[in-house]
Amino acid sequence: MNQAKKDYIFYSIVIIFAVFFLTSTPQIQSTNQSFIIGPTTWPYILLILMVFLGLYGIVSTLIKAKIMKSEEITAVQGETEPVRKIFKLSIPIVSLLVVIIYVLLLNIIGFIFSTILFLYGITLLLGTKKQWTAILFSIITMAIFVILFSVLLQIPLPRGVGVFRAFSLFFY
Amino acid sequence: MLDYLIAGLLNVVTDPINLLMLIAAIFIGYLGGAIPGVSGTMLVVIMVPVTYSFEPDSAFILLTGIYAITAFSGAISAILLRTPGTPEAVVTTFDGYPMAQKGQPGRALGIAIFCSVVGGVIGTLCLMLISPALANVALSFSAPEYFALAVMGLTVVASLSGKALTKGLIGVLFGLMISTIGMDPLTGTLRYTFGSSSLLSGIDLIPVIIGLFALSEFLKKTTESHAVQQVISNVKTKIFEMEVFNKIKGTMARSSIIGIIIGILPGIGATTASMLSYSETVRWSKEKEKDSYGKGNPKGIAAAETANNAAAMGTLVPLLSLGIPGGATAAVLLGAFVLHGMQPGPTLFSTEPELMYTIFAALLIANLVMLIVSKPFIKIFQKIVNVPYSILGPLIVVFCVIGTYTVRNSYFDILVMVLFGIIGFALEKYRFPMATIILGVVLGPLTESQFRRAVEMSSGDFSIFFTRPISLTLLIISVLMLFFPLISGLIKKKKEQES
Repeated sequence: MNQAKKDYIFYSIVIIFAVFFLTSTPQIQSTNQSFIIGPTTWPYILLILMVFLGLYGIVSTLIKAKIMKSEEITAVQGETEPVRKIFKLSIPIVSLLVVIIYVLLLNIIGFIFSTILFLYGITLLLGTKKQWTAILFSIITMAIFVILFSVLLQIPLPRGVGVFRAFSLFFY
Repeated sequence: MLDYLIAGLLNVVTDPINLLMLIAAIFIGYLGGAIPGVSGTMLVVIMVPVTYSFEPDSAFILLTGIYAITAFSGAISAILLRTPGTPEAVVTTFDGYPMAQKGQPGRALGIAIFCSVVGGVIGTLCLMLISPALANVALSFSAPEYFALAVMGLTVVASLSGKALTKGLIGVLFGLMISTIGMDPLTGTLRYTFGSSSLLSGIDLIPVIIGLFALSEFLKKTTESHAVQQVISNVKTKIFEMEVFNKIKGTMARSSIIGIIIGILPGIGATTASMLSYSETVRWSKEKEKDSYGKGNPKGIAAAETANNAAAMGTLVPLLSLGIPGGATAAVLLGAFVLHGMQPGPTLFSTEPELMYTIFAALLIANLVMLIVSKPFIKIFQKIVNVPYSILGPLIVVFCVIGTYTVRNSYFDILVMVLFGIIGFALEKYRFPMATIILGVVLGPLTESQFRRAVEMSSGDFSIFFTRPISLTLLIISVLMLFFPLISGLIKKKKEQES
């Protein structure tokens, strides 16, 4: 995808975002009418500016793209490096999915188990070759985090539900 | 002022917890700063939530200490690996690495350490002198002036966004919009909560910062190759050599001044300061010497390291005296103040003078300690630098999650953090200036409430912003700052056409 196309998408998203919030602004019910400037004025100013900037962005990209076309793009895309992929997805996307799964599990199976699973999975994904290194790393790191935060700093980490909650109460 | 400073110094040194925090700050600052891929901003970001349960004194000793140390520690890998540990150390690679390659890594590191200390100490002294004075002036401000000040803070966007000004402005507006979510502070009206109870108290600053800066950075780094790097070994660090000192003293003096001025100007930051100081140093050199830059000239290292450390301290001036963050890390520190129930600004010097001078004292000590601690640290540096990213990256993610959760014990905040991580990762592809969003979120509540208060003050007359001299001046400066990149670009073009 070339830069101009990316820019069109970006500015369109900006406009969609602003319009969405613009349409939900009138629903704000002011609870106190005694102020000269109510709670909706400021958001209106911001959103209208945003729409204008979005439109300006699209127009300026259009003009730029025209100039670029007349100069003819001869630059060859230099991405020949083979990219490691898993299930046709790039590593950052897979990492992101792993993080999302971790966060979702956090509330169900608690910090201890989800962190072990996450650390084990992500270290292998990022290129650790030895199984044992990953297993040891994930368990020891989790233990350090629990001791440091829950025991020493008394920060309550997520416990999960049911059995997992009961299990976590043994440790913190 | 001196009594306060002495009280501050005593507070750092005599309180065992504060002392421990300072040592921790030094340790974390060295470790994180020296490892490429962990920037000073990210370190402070991850540590902010950890400090949540601390006393403000200890918390800020830790955070500002890390900040001061990372301004230098990036230079170690810049010199020994040619990979700057932090963005501020980019310029240090220009002459630092060639000098190390020529068989003088110890001398290169020595110059970097000595100049960092000088730059840092001069920077801290200026910070101590300028910020209380500036805060004193700002005490007479009322709503219109504060609004103008906040607007000036927002115009930092111009320098944060570089060539992409439109995108930067959109970023600021997006940030300002985020800060309107939740309960309106003036009327108590609910805005954009869409019926969700989690959104009642708004979107917290910390998850946004952690998501945008730390999580997105992790996702980006997962593709980069992290092969074991060849470190220059057998390093004997020589911190002070008279012969070298005589060569670089002029450069150091000039670079400190450049660093402080650039640092104080909001939003330009330490990286730009070291670039500018380097190019000025080359320009001021004798004709025959100019060729030696980039090949291991000690003045090159001195210019970069003095300026970036001085600038790092200068950046704290607008933050502590006016409540306007000078850069990304300063914005994070502002968030930390808010987290501890304080609003940085002129009143802080009268309400929390001890805390302020404790921070100054900690900065001063942290800068001086570099003289002693750097040598042994460089010895162990070779061992830690090869920690693979498959170990480091996951640790960062767990820190992000715990850090976010600590603030309000809210699972919802973790989801917000991941969402902003995704936003940050996606925007990275568009070369979007991320810090602009933070700027908006941080300054949003201040800007809006002061704007509304000012209009209430004048019973609806908007001219109040232009009839008061200070507010008018600040607004004019803001407009100039916003359009400065455009104007200077036009002038450059014209000059090029003429020549």
